[in-house]
Amino acid sequence: MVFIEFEAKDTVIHRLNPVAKLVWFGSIVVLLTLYLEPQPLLIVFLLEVLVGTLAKVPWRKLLARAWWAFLLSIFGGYTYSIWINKPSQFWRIPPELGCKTILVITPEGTPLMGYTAITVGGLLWGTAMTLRVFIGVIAASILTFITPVSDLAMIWAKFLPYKLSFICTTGVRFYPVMIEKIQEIMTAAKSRGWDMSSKNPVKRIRAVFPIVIPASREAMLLADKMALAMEAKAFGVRKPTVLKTIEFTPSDILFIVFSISFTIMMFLMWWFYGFGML
Amino acid sequence: MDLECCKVGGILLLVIVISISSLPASAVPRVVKVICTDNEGRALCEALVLVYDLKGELVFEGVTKENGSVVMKLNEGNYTIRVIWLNTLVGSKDIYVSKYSLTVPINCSVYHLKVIVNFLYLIPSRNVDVVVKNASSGHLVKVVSKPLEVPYRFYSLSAEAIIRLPKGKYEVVVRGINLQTKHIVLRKSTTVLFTQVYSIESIIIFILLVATVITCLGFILLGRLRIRRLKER
Repeated sequence: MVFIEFEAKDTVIHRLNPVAKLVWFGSIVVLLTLYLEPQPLLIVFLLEVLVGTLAKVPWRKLLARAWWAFLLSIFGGYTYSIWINKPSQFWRIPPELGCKTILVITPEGTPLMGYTAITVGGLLWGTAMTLRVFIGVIAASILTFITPVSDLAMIWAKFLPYKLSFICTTGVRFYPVMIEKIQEIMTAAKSRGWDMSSKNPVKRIRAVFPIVIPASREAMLLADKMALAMEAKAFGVRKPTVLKTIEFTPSDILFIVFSISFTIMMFLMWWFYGFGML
Repeated sequence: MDLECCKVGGILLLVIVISISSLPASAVPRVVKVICTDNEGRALCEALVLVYDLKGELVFEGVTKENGSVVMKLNEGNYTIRVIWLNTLVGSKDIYVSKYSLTVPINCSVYHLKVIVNFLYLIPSRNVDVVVKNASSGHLVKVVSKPLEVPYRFYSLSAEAIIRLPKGKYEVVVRGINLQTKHIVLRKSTTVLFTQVYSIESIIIFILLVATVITCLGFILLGRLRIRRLKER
């Protein structure tokens, strides 16, 4: 899902080569998988905000488009956290602190739910999960904002078989086009009195049909045109000529070293000191 | 015959009653429980407890259990209890044992010395040994081997060792890749911070931290400089 599309801006981040940008994104993903506590995630978040600010990311636009993902993460994270109340669920935090109960929601032996409670450890875990989604969404948005799809395709083409990389690129490239088409279909349907405001789920599903059918038709037409264009350009006859080459400037190298050293440092702190282990 | 038997039995009973009542109270030993705690109120285990009578003779010798207690049986009278910890007298109390059981709490002059080993105040050095020597005699008092604990805290990381010591003058040596020594006079529970000792993991993290900061600043400055130059052209 793309929350903010690529904008060609003259910033230090935009000028980086796609490999450096992917290394940064990869390091954020690695760190997100490590932590179960909010403290180290806050450091990662601050660093992400720094990169976003340098890239002049339109934060308001991002918030306006991704607010539901943030709300969903808060709801999901804190809801699941009520089951985080057993000593075996904590690695580093002393069990007496982790299991310290703030509010019992359902007592032991409750059917289906079991014992649920708001605990200190649960709150820390819930906050960490929420932050993980926040950071992940923002990192993905920054990546799509600073990297044109053609650059990503260029990197994919280096590692993946050409046809597979073309499929991936086409999927990403045509996602905003299809969204635009669906919006057009919905506007046209609304002008003809189409309504999806019913609270009845059956009615809502039925109301989707007038949109799904023309959208599928549009997708097929687009694919057909695309296939024709590819055939006209003799796709698959031989490997195409690479138009752009990846060059590393001192800025790229510094950014890559920065991303890698930060990731290793945070990983070692997790490994040696249990930083963020919960 | 029956009358004779009753007489003999009565006399025997009388003799037994008289002999029991004439026994001194001190001959019946009473249970005395001594509970030793340090200055922070924590149980002092494996402390040597010596009990002397008024003549100065040792009547009991025992070592406290995990809960800091030792149980003994003493006859009625006055006693002096002395508690020895790490070859030092850390507590003393005079007691009187009466007809009843007695529990004697002794708050010993044993203090907590918290040793924090954070390289440059920031990076915990876990793989270090902490050696505590008596400053006056030079005897080894306590050794805490690597790795040190990094207790859980919300806001900070630090490698710590908590050592319980009697009051006195000590030399604390922390040995990692290098070593640092500090002299302390222990009169109350104290914290000592070692900031110059580094171990292999703390030095690696320090190098990575420096690399992160330098490359981040370098990247921002170099990138802005490049953009400015391009604009000038």
